[in-house]
Amino acid sequence: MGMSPALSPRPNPPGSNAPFNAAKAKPLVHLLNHKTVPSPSLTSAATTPGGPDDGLAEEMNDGVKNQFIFGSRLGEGTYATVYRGHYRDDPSKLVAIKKMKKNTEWQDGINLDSLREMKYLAELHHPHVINLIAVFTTKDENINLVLEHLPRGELQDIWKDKEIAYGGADVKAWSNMICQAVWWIHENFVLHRDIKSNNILIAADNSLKLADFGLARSFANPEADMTYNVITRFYRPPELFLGSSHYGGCVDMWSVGCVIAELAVRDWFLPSETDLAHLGVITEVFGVPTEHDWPGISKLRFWKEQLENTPPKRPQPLSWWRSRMPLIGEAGIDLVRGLLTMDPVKRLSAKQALEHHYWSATPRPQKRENLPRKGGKEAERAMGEQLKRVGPEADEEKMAKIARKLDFGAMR
Amino acid sequence: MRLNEDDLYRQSTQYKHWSFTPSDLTRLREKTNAHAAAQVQLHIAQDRAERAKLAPLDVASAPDSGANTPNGNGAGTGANTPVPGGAGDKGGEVDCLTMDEEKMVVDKFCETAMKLGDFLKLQPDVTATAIQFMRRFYLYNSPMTYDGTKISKTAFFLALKLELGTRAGSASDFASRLPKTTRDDIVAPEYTIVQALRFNFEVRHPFRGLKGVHLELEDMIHANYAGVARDGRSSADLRAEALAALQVTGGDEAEGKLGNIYAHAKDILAMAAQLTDAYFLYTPAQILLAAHLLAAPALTTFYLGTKIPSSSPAAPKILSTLQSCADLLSSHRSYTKNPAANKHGWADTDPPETKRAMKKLRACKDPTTQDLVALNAGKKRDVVRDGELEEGKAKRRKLNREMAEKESDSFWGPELKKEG
Repeated sequence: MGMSPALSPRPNPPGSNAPFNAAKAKPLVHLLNHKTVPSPSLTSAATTPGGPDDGLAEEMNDGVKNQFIFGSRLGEGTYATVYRGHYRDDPSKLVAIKKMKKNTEWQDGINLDSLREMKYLAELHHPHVINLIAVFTTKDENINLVLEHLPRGELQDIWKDKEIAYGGADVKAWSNMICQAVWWIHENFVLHRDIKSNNILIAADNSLKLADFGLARSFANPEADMTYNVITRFYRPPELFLGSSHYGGCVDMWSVGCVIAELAVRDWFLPSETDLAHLGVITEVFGVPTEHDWPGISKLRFWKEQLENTPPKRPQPLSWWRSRMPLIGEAGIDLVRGLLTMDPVKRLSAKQALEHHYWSATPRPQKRENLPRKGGKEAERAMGEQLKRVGPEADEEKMAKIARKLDFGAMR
Repeated sequence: MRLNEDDLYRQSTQYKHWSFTPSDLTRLREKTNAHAAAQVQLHIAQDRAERAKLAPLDVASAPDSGANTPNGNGAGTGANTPVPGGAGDKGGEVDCLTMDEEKMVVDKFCETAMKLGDFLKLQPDVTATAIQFMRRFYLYNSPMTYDGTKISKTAFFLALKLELGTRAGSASDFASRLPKTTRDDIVAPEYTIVQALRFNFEVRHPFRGLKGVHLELEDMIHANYAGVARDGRSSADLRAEALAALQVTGGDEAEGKLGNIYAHAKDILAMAAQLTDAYFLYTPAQILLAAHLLAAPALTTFYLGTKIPSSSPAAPKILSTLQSCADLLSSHRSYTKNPAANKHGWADTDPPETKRAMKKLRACKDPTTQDLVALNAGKKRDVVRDGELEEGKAKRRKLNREMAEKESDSFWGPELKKEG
């Protein structure tokens, strides 16, 4: 990782006609990644009196804004409208522009989900994390996030669509991309806290992108409490149901285990009706943990009411896993069980997951270009539909989550 | 793939957008200052012309002599009209802040913000983030344009939201904890601020790194250090050397002394590091080691020796960088060699040049940007009024887009969908 390339302060001024092939050869994508956002040029003279009443910050903002053109509207919801967009100097380079609505009902300024999403995506640039290309405001004070265009929908669509056939090599390739993304964010001390198969999007080149950082946070100081009321239920680890308020990357790793298992069984892996019932669903598969399997469990906040009086139960044997997940083989089952370890201390970390022998076992991971996918036009049409759909799920989830359901993260 | 912390740091927005060489920092401030001064001249002249129209008979008399200033609504606007030479001088140039004066004023704003953080009993991280937001904000904006007290309130609320998440509380709650502040005061400048922050909200602080150094040193004095010194010294050697550097003989005494050093270095980070340009010029690791160097020179030199041998070619460079950072930190008047001294005693004694700059500021505020709540409301109105214009624009854009698509089609040929 070297220094950012030396760039002129204003590499892409509004209205400039960058040479066509130059723009092709060197994508101007990483506006946040490198110093290509036109800083107000340090050399130019100050605005003359009588000129536009824009400060330097505004000038800088306009420089970013003018690089993009809004296109057709892809979907609209309560908190955001998503547009297809493209670069001004290269209409073939698509982006998605998520325009955050300014909600007059919102009394506390810019909402927390948007702030978190901007905060973390600006820091986390990785091939398998959705790329936040730029952010700008329009004069109506709407914040616009320019995100990479991911036209192939969500990972969840793949296993749900029974017309799509896929095999062990495909699951391996997808799983590996997910593990890389999670490893990267954890190396950067960020917890995602909402990993699930519809927060993982598919790019035009079939690579997966972890999206939706509206619940993310930095690793806490050891003494600070965190909320245990995070992560969508099907993907939430047992320690959070037991009220643990000190945790690290292990909570995300349980979710990763659930996503891989989902791909392997082509169905929800741990479906449940309510939060209260979910721990029962988990123990059905993994047994009832004791102080022996999981030292310290009896000190967790809700252990007494949730588990203390539960009759002992043995975990499902290996044969159960073999019959349910033939798609990923012995090595794959070993990885999934390592990720879905009840005791968070013994659970595989992202780094350990990447060192697992599953990746080197046969079959080799599918080549990216050969991964199965949904059709382009169909996926794009579905995207609009998805964005309008804010019904039953909205009632169930917190209001704040709507904003994220409607974001580009929900596109397909 | 192996990553070290430097690689990770270079990915951060703090490195990419908020780290400067001293000369770049000066040039940016010069530009901000020149721009703002021009705006102030313009707007004060316009303001005067307005008033001259409203009260033509008063033209000859001293503008501020009347008890009633013509503009009753703009709080502070009346006081902004400078009275440089007395009667007859009202058409003259406004005496704007220079770049150096602006910096003094911003430093003063940040000191006041630090007191506000103490008053609100906020966690040190929240206060530090808020102060760094202000410092970043005033790289692209002038204190003549935006009032420090107003900006600091919103910067604090933003920092609270980002650091505490859902536990930050509402804007109304926050406003109620502040004197003479409404919810609108808190929320109105938010967009102006986040725009100047370039939507970068992560501030990498040196506090946790300092804690790490402290824990490592504790392990060393107890001969528990799990790492290996670069030159292969054993943990017993390290313990002996650490005790020698601390000038103590026993572990208990060493622990007490180490605790004091940690507290001292932490104070330096909480004050001098926030109130100087340290974050713009140095990395968090450099800042915390420089603070530690000030608190305990011999021990810090020993500590660095366990990480990088003094024979390494990088060692002198690292040391000189740390020394220059330490010089910057110790140049701040909050710095004291005696950590037991009254922590905030210094903050009530502004240097005379700061006092002068603060006084000068009163006469050169941009009259158009003082009422941020009205400004914000005005922007919203503009949007409604411009609704039709926006629509026209959208149509034009659509045509342009279709043109562009056609052009690209004629260049690349049409899409291949029919075959697929």
